[in-house]
Amino acid sequence: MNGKTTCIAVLTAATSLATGSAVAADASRGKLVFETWCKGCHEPLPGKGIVPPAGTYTLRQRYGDTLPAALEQRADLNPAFIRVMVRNGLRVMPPTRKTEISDADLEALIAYLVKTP
Amino acid sequence: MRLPKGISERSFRNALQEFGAVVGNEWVFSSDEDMALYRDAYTPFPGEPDKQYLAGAAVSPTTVEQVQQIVRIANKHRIPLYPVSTGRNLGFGGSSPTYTGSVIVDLKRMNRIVEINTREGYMILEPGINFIELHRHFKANNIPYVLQSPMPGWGSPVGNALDHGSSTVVRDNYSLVRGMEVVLPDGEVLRTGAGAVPGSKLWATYQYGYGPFINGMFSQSSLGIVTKMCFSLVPVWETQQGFTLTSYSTADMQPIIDALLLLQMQGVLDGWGIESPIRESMSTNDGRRPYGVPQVKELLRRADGGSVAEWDALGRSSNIPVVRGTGFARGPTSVVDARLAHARSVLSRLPGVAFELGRAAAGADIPAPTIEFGFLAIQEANLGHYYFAPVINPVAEEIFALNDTIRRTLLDAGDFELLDNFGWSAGRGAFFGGKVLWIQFEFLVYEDVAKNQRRRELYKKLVDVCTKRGWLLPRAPVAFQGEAMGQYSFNDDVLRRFHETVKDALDPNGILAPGKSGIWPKHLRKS
Repeated sequence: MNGKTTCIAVLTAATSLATGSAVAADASRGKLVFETWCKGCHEPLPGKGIVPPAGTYTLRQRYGDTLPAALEQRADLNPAFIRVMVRNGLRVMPPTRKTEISDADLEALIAYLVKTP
Repeated sequence: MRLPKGISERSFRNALQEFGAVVGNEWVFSSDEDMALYRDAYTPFPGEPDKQYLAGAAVSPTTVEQVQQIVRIANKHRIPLYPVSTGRNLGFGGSSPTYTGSVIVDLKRMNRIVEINTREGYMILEPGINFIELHRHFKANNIPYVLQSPMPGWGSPVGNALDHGSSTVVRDNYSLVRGMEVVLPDGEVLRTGAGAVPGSKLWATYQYGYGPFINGMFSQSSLGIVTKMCFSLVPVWETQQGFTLTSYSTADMQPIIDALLLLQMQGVLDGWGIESPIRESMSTNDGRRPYGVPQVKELLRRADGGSVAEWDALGRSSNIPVVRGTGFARGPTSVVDARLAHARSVLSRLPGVAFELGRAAAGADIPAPTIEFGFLAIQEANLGHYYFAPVINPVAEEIFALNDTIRRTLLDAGDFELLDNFGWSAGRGAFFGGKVLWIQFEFLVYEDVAKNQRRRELYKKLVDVCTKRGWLLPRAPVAFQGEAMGQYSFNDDVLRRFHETVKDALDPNGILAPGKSGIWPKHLRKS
């Protein structure tokens, strides 16, 4: 072996997964999307960094005890809301382009988040 | 439809149609809804759309051949293009163009890892892959090298290097760049260095080739679209360990700097930094948390900024160091131990300075790049930020002079809030071979339009006063690129005129990133 690896990049297109239904496949893909693009700011408090995850911290300030601050723990997210927020951002959360999270990956992310109890 | 000045809607639509034939219509964006995603998320001009830099359309290629065709179409119709790699240079302009109406060439989907060679320690990347994705690949394939990722990790190794970015791994990411592949403004493909010798195996390891070394022409520039970049890689170290030096005397700052810089130059240290914790203690710049010494604000707001004796006394009474030096070494544990033992023996000779070894950390525990800017959450409510980031040489007198200049400028403007926010800074470590201190002053953006206007004027004032002292900006937000280039005025702006000459020769139609870094094509140049 000459120590070379040549490969194509990850997350270029929706991958088909070996497990079960299209919905399960989407949610699994959606989890990967969440971990790539969302988790750094939206994981549960206190987070793994030296400062709290920005999104969760902000939502905690906004919601107090009325709603979970971590997105994966929300039971009330609806697809339209997720689409608007992901695409357009809000204040310091930047917009996300279709070349970053494709429409298909956005639907997968929705399948993941809306499923989570 | 937002058109570039002087371009008819018909020409623009024709160009978009031709782009669609190249990349597929689904990857050409021009609706208001889609173009809203290409704004500068942290624009210094919220609520002032006439001042914002807004794209007219966007096109997303996946191959070099598509990029070539896009460039040729743009030339045919005289459409300005603006390439972005991942478009996440937040604080410096993000994915917005430098000329309103430009078509963004969004390279995010050109995201292949072309090659990783673990034996010779190099990688060849396309511009669209980001640090998080690349790190995931490294981990999945046990590639024993480190990524030089800034935080957040959604930026592009290619784009970051081209903007002269840095990270905590290598404080000069561009220094790792070897050969490049570039689509020129006429659509030709160029490979630099050894890449221009067919069959050479040195493209990714020997950057110079023969003749003029042109890599730098494509950084912070509008002379080509980089479609591949070769990087030298840094092996994962077995351990990293650092130390701190503390003193309660301002007079110790220069001896500490001298000692640390020499150790870096000798190769004993891999990095060093300098701070004045007491002076910085109330700063909230860039997400810092103040730690409760209200007299600090009083001293900084005073016309004289507080005397050395007052600062030293305040540090002692607060038990907060007046000077802190830091250094670290990486590598095999036995080597790091030896280097730090030597550093300790040298630094312990500094009178009145306490040396304390820090905890060693395994290279395997280097955290993955992530999208984390938690510090933004703990700041006051804002709509984003941009950076005023001058560099100075590592001399105590310069550090104090820069801070005093910034302080006085803010005081003269009556902006006590911004002064309290900035506080004092010697940067966060020495960059570019350990010989440059880089101060990063974050300007927040608000909903208050008048406040944003005042702050922008203050930014320009700071550029002015720094220029008079030779303190330069190595990076600047798009909104201030003219001011940044204006600093480089030696010999009647010969550098800018040189850039314009090259620009006119390589891009006679002026279609590529007009205005980038303050360099305009002929037809858009002010007389």
